[in-house]
Amino acid sequence: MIILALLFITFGLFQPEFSYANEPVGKEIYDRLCLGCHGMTGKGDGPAASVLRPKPRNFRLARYKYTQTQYGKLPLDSDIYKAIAEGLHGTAMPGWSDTLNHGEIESLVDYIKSFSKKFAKAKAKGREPAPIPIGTPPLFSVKVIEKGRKLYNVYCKKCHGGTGRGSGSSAVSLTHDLGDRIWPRNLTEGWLYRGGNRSEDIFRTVATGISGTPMPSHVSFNPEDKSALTLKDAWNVTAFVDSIITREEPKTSEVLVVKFTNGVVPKDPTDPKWNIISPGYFPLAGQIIEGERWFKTTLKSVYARAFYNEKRIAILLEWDDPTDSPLEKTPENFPQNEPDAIAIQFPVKIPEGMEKPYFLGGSASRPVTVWKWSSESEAKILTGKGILRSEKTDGIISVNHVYHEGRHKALFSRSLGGDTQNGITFVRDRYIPVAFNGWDGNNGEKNEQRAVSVWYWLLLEEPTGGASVYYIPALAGFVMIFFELLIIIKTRNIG
Amino acid sequence: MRTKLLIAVSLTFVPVFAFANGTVTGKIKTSANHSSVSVVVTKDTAVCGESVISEKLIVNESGGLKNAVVMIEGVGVAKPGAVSINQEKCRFNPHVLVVAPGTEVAVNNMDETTHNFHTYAFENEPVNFSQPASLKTKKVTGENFEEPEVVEVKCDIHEWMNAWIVVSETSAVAVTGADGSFTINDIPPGSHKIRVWHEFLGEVVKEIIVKDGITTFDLTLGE
Repeated sequence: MIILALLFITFGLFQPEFSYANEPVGKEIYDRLCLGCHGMTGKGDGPAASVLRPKPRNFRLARYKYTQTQYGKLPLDSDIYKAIAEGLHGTAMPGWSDTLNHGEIESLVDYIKSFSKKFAKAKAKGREPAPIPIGTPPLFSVKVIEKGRKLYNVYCKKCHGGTGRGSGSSAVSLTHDLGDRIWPRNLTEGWLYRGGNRSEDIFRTVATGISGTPMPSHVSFNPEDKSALTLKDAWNVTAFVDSIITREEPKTSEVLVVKFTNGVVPKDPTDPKWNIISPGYFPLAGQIIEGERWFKTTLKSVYARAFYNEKRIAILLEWDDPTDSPLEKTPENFPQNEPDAIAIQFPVKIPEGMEKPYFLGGSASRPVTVWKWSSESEAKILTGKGILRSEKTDGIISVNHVYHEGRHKALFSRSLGGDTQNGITFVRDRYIPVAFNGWDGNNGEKNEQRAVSVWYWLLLEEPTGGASVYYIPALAGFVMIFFELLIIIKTRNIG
Repeated sequence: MRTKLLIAVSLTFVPVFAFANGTVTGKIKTSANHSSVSVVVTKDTAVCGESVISEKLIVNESGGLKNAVVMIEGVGVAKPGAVSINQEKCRFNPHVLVVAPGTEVAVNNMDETTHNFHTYAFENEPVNFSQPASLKTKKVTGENFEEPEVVEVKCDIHEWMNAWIVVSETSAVAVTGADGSFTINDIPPGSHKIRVWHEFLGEVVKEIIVKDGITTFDLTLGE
């Protein structure tokens, strides 16, 4: 009996959680972890696929976007490995390196390759995928960046735009190979680069393009093409991109601090006075809860700055959008042409406790005040009792808007005091809930199909400029030290 | 591979037993509206003009359909030759190009603007490269057109620019002219499958009995 129990314990202890011996390991892992999105037969049609943008990869096509190989060529095993291990940033594909060990990922690579005959075919023809040469990276000097900028203007600007924010004239009409609309990357937001944002990754994307998308290969690997870009040229373009990229995502600002000014609040979104405030960063996401859900938003975040004086509050919102909608001419393949819009949302009354209105447009019991600017109608104040239940009030909001090369700036300004029409009254010493909503018209966004944020806070800074916060603790410290010294001296004297 | 061999073998022996080969000729028509549709040019108007005529459906006054591909299956083995396609005034010329598997295609940019050349291929390895004015000619290797497939080609920069490269194993293939007419020579007499494809009106497969001499084949698409 004891022996049996011992055996049982031993067996229980040393039995590995999964036994892969003589089993198709990759398939077992795939069916357990990947099938939900990529589907039983690797077609990218798993149960979760319908709500994912971008869609999960269809392994049967053997077309991979982020590879070390030329455009359209099969990937290296290490490319598939990397995507599994590290995931694809900005997509639903997570990294699995914490869950799976090296051998398991390798077997998964083999299994994924087995979904397409193309790997075996290429092998039979002696055309196994090979990495592109990466040449020698230059020092990113001003001169090199300038060379890169010139090439950028010829090769990249038509889609990525003059400032790299993805607002080129061809940005509005792009599709990937399977026909879905696709937008060029906003090159200033390096944290969203799916193929990686190291210089080497950028170089590789410039050189090879991104398979299955309109991003073409810019370097020719055929020595006969004398006038095509060289590896060196691609490095120069990389240097230029490096000069406009921000690699780290800014930290989300929990609080939008409204700075006090003795003078007038700025009336112009380009007023240099704004430069003394560093903008708060507030991420947005597609609205996927109410009504027609929206997964494809192009608006990723809002940057906000604000001033107030004794009478008025001014909030400057800046956000990137590839198009200034409605467009004068729309492409045949994407004729939708709604206006662009942005909204700031507050509770109608500052809540006494912690309970805030429903973040998606408020509710009948806890309504919200919405300041809305749209490119086609006058700015207005609305009272919202639900995402589609908002009514225009007679409140007055003034908005000054400009759009330049992929960036909107909208300056909202209103009196501090509110009433039944204007809604919220702004007071100091209170954390006031604030949220942002945005619409990209040319992307077909309207009504509840929009980008939304959660609630953040807005706080009116003390008129003293907050200096007391710094000197009072310091003063207290000095007083403490003084008394401590006094005590020490007294004690010594006693001794 | 095996089927190709079989075809090659049969081609070698068939003429010994058969009569002289026939010619299939005729017209592909459509009842679809023939009024031309113009597409607004949304960018680079200095090079491309203010509008272009859509090439999706080109029909003449008597209903003749341009740019339909007529193919008699399993006849003749197409051999790769040198062909070219131009990016010219922000159009591809020709709009429909038939190539044999393994054909190298030279792509010429005649415009003073940057284009790209992007094959929306699935059976074949796709290719997509940028082609500024300075890159006058770039060759796309035969490896990109190896498998029989109708491949759409686009310049993504100018969204109205598209073309079709039809990779055909058989050499008995023709593209209809402006009046919808076509002629395919050298067809062994007997029963064949004839396939008619058009980018907008779709595909139809019919039986055809080819005689020696001239066999007429007319078809109306999109009825």
